[in-house]
Amino acid sequence: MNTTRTETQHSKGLPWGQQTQQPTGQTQAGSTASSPTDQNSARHTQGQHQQHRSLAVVAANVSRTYGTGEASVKALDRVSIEIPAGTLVAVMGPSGSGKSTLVHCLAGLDVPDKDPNTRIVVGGQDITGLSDDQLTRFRRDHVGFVFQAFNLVPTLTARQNIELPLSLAGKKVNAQRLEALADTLGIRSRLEHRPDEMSGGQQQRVAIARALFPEPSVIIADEPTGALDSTTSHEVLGMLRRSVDEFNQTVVIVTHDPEVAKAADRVVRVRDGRIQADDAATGDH
Amino acid sequence: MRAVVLSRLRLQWTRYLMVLAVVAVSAGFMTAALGLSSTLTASMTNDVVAQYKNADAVVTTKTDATSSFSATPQQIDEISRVDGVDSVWAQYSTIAIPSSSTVAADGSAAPVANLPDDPSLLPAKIEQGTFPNSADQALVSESLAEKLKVGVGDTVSLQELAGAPAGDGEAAGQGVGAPSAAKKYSVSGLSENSATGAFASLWLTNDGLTRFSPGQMMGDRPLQAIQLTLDGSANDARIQGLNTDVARILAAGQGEQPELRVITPEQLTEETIDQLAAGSNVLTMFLLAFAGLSILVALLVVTNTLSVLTAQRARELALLRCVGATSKQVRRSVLTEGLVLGIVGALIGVAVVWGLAVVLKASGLISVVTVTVAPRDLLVGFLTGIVLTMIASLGPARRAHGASPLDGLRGSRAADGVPRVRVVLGALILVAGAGTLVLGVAVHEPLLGIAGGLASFLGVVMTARLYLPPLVQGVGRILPGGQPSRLAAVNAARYPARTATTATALLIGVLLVATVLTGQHVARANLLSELDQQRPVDISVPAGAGQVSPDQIREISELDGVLGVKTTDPAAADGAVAQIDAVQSLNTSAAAQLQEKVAGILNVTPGDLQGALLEKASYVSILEVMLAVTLGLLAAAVVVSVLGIASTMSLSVLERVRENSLLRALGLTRRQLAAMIRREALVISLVATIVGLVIGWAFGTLGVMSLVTEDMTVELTVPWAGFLAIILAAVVVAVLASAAPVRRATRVSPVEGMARVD
Ligand SMILES: Nc1ncnc2c1ncn2[C@@H]1O[C@H](COP(=O)(O)OP(=O)(O)O)[C@@H](O)[C@H]1O
Ligand SMILES: [Mg+2]
Repeated sequence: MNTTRTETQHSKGLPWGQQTQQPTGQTQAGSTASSPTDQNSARHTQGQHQQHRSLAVVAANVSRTYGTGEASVKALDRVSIEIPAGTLVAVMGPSGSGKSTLVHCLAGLDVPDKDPNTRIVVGGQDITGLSDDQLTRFRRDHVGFVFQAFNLVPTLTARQNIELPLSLAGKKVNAQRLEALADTLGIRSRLEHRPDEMSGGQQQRVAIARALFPEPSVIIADEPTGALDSTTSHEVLGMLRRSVDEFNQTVVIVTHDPEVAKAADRVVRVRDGRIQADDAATGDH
Repeated sequence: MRAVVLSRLRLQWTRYLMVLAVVAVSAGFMTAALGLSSTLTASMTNDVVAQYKNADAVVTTKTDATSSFSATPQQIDEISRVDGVDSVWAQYSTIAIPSSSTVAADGSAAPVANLPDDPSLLPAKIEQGTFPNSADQALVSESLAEKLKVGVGDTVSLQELAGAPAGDGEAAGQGVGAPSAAKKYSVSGLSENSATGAFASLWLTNDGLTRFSPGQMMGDRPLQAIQLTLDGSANDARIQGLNTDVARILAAGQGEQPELRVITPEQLTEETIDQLAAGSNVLTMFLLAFAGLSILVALLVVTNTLSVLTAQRARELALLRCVGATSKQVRRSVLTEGLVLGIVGALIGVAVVWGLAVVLKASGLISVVTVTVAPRDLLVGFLTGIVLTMIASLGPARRAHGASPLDGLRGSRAADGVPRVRVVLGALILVAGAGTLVLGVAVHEPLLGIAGGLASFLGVVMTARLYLPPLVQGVGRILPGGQPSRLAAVNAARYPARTATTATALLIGVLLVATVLTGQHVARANLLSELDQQRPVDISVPAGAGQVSPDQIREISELDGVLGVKTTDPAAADGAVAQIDAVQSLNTSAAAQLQEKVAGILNVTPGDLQGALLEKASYVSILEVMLAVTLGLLAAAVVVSVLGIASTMSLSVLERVRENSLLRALGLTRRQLAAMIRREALVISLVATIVGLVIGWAFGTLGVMSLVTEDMTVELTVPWAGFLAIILAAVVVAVLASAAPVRRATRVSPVEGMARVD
C-alpha cells in the first residue's frame, strides 16, 4: 500500500515540501494486522495501475440501501464513476438525491451494499470489504474531508485541528510545512485560536488546510460553502481550485451552487440515486 | 409547558436513569436507616412484652415492666378471688445448669420459669408433647432439647448454680458454693425457642419449681409481673377497679413494696416503645448522619446531572422562549422535571427497601429481630428523595430563567465561572478548620480535633472547584497514550464546574473511607504496640501445666501466628514455665483458635493458659467491627458518587456525538474512541481518589493524634493495602462507569453521528 501511495504523491509535487512520514508502532502494527487484504488489494491495484495511472478514484456498481423491507430507501443505485487525479469534480443534484451518500461511500465513511460486482479503489487502494478499523486507517491516509459545518474539534486550536489526522495515526508533524500551508490559506495568524474564536470562513479554511496537509489521494467536500456568504464561499472555492491546479490535488465537491459547477473540471449530476449526466464543465478555468 | 416536560421525560428517559438511581439510593438509604432503628425498637419491645401476650391484664410496678416487687401466696390467692378475675400467674424465674444422660453439664446456665395454672396463659407455643401436669415433669425449649439430645419422655437433670442470684433466704439456708444435688425431671413437651431470650428454656410447674429450689415459691420472692386473665373484656373501668383492688391486696407503696398498677398488654407495648425510643435516638442520629452524608453526595450528583441536561437543552429552551414561553414558564418546566424525577426516584427507592423488609420478614432468616419499617420511615424516605431533587433543580432552574433566548439559539454557552463566594468562604473554613485540628492535636483535645476535622472537610469540599479541574488537566497530560489520551484530558477539563462536581462527589466518599481506614490503622498500630510494651507476654503457660518438652516448644513455634517461644523459670515473676509471643493483628476468633492449638499441644484446657493475647485480640476485633460498620454505612455515598460519574460520562458523550463522529471520519479508530472515553472517566476518578486518600490520611492521622494522651507518641503509618485496594477500585469504577457511554459512542457510525442535529 505504501508503494502505490508514494507513486500517486510523486505526481503532485506539492510546494510546501515533501511530507516526512514516520509511522509509529501503532500504525505499523495496524498495517501488518490487515496484511492479507492489503496484499490482495495491492496485487489487484498493481495490475490496474499501468492502465489507470492517473485515476484517483475508481468506483463500480456502488449501491446503498437504507432500512429494510417496505421502508427501505435506495440512496444509491449501481453507480459507477472514475475520477482522474488532479481534477475538480462537482457533484450536483436535488436534495435527497444521494450526493452525500455517494461521496461518503467513496471516502470509506459509509459502506455500500454487499455485491460481488461492487468495487471502490481510492488512491490505488481497494477499499471494498475492508473492516471498520481498516477503513478508519484508510481515511487517515487517503482522504481529506471538508464538511458544511462542525468541521473542527471545538476543544482544539486550529493548529491542533490541522495536525489531527497525522497525530491520530501517530505520525510526526512538520511544523514548517504546516505554517507554510497556513500562510498560503491566510490563516497563519489564527493557528493558536480555537474554532469559537474564528469566523465561519476562517473555520472552513482551517478545515481545508487539515484536508490538504496530509496530501490525501482525494479531498471530499460536502457542501463546503453551504453555510458561507457569497464572497467567502468564492474564496474557499478558489482555494480548492488552486490546490488542484497548483498541487495536482484531486477534489470532489458536493454543491448546489452553479458558481462552483462553473469552476469545476467536470460536473456529475445525480438524481434518485443514479448518475444522470457526467459532463466536462463549460467553465473558463 | 407541562406537555413539553412530560414528552421530554418520556422520550429521553434514558438520560434520567442515573438521576433516578441516585434519588432511589438516597431515599432508600434514608428509609433503611430509619427502618433499622424502628426494627431495633420493635425487637426490644417484643422482648419485653412477648411474655405477656396471652394475658388480659398485667400487674407491674409503676415505673416500668422490668423492676420487681413481691407477693405472698396468700396475696396471690386473694387476687384470684377478686370479682371477674379468671386466673392468676405470678411469674418467678431462676437459672439452672442442665444436663442429660448423654450430655454432661458444661457450666452454662439456662433460664427456668414456673408455668401458669391456666395453660392458655403460656406465651411460648408447645411444639411437641404436652403441658406438664406434675411436679416432676418439665417443658424444655427445642434448642435446649437439641443441645441435651433429649426428646419427649427423656429425663433432664437440673443443678442449681453455686451462688445463683436465687434470693437471700435460700442462699443463707443452703450456703453459697455448696450446690444442692441435681433434680431429675421427665420431658413432657418441647416449647418454642426464644431467639431473644424473652422466654425461659425450661418450664416447671409451681410445685416443680419449688422442688428444684425450695425457697423459690415461698413468701416474698421477687416478682416482675403477675399476669391475669379476666372474664369478658378488659375495659377501662374494669382495669381501674382491678387497680384499686390489687393495690390494696399487695399493699402497694407501703414499706418495701413499690407503687403498682394494672395495665393491659397493649398499653404496656405502647409504653415500652416510648421508653425505648429515647434510647434508640442516639443510634438513629448516628444512622441519620450517614444518610445525610449520602444525601449531600446525591445533591451534588443530581444538581450536576440536571445542570448538564439543562445546558444541553439550551437551544430547545431558547426555541420555547422564541415561540412565546415566558422565562418563568421555562424555569417552572425545569422544576416540574425535578419534581417528577424526585417522585419517581423516591418511590422506587422506598418501594425496594419496603419490599426487602417484607421478603426478609417472610423468609424468617432473621429471627433475632423483628424486621419493621414504620409508615413514618417510608414517608420520611419518600420526602427526602423529593426534597433532594427539588433543591438540586433550583440552580439549573435559575440559570434557565436567566438565559437569553438568543444565546441559546446561537448555541453559545455561558463560561463556567468560579463561584467566588463559595470558594472564599470555603477557604476561610478550611484554614480555620485545619488550625483547630492542629490545635486539637497539640493540646490533645479530641473535641477540638473532631470539630476541626469536620470544618476542614467542609472547606475541602467547598474549594474543590478551585483545585480539582487543574489537577484533572495536569494528570490528563501526563497519562500516556498519544492523541486519544490528549483529547481525553482536554475533554475531562472542558467544563470545569461539571468535572469539579463529579469529582467532588467521589472525593467525599474516598476521603471519608480513607479517614476511617487510616484512623483504624494508626489506632491499631499504636494501641497494640503500647499494649505490647506493657504486657509483652501473649500466652504464658502456668507451672500447673507441668514441664514443657523441647518437642512441644518446636511444635508451638511452628504454629501460624507464633513469633517465638521461650521457657522460663517458674520461680520467676509470674510462675510461668513458658512464654509465647504472637503476632499482633489476631482478632478474637483467630486468637482463640491459636490458644486452643497451643492448649492441645500442651494437653491442657485453653482456660489454663494465661497472657495478654485475648485482651489484645478483643481490641483488634472491636476496631475491626467499627471499621466494617462505618465502611458499610459509607457505601451508599460511594455508590451514589459512582452513579454520578456514569451519569456525567453518558451525558458528555451524548453531547459530543457529532464531534466524535468527526474524529472518526478523520481517522480515530473505534478502539481509540473507546480508549478516549475511558481515559476521561479514569482521569476524573483517579484525581478524586488520590486527593481523597491524601487528605483522608491526614485527617485520620491527626484525628488519632488528638485522641491520645500527651505521653503517647503516635507513630505514622499508611494503610497501604487498603489504599491500593481503593485506587484499584477507582480504576474499576472508571471502566464500569464508562462502559455504557463507550458502547453507545462506538455504536454510532460516523455518517449517522455527523447527521445528528442534537
Ligand atoms: N441514515 C439514513 N437512514 C435512512 N435514509 C437515509 C439515511 N441517510 C440518507 N438517507 C436517504 O437517502 C437518500 C439520499 O440521501 P443523501 O445522500 O443524504 O442526499 P443528498 O446529500 O443528495 O441530499 C435520501 O432519500 C435520504 O432520505
Ligand atoms: Mg447531503
